[in-house]
Amino acid sequence: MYAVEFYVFAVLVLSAAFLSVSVRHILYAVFCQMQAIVAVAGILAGLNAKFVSFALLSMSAASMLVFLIFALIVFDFRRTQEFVPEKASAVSLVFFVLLCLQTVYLFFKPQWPNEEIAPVFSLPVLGDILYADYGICVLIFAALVLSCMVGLSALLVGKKVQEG
Amino acid sequence: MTINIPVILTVSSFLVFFGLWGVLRHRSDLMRVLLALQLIFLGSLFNFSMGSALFYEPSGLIFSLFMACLSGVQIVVSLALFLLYFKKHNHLTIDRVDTMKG
Repeated sequence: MYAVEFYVFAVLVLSAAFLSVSVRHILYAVFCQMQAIVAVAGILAGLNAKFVSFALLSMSAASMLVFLIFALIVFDFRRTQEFVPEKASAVSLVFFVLLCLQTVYLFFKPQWPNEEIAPVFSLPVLGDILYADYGICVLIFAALVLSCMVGLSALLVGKKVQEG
Repeated sequence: MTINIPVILTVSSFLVFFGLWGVLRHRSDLMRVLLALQLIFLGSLFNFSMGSALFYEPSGLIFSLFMACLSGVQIVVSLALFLLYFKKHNHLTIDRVDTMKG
């Protein structure tokens, strides 16, 4: 049963990735990219890797939200409104409906029957490995994220001070 | 119906291929290049996770977790730089980015 779901999600990932590259406007490309990310998270959830799936979804949601806002800044509606084809809008609508359906499916579906993998990817095992074997990596990545946040704030605030 | 290694490799390599195609196709638009890079990250994340499932070894999942973290950091930092650049020059085309020098 899991194989069928894997193939469905894989087709969704590939089609969304293809559309994300081939669509002309960046706004639709961002929506397609979100679709691809949710489908990958669905595949991960099927492997019982719920923590990684949730982490991927939350981090991608944050970054894609920033991306969407920036795309809205760059996207010139007045210039593009005249020649946006109806086909592009229909494709976006289809992908939005698919996105909602996938989210509902992932939310309401009970434990997927994958008895062999389920104990290997369970959260306690993952936590043990993460903090026993990869503790240094966790520290390095935490320092990386912290330095990025500090650098980002310094960049933006410094610019504001310069402008003021 | 089973999940084979060639299928997994095909899906992940197609994701990486789409990402590379996106980088080459939209090389004049910085934001589209960033989106395509995200696709490449997604492909490698998929590869790590599925390999981890195939060999019953959870280390691949840890690496995919780090990779997701790294891609988020990459997007946020580059978008901040793009925002600063866009506010100053009012465009994001890569042909004129050489004005960032000095």
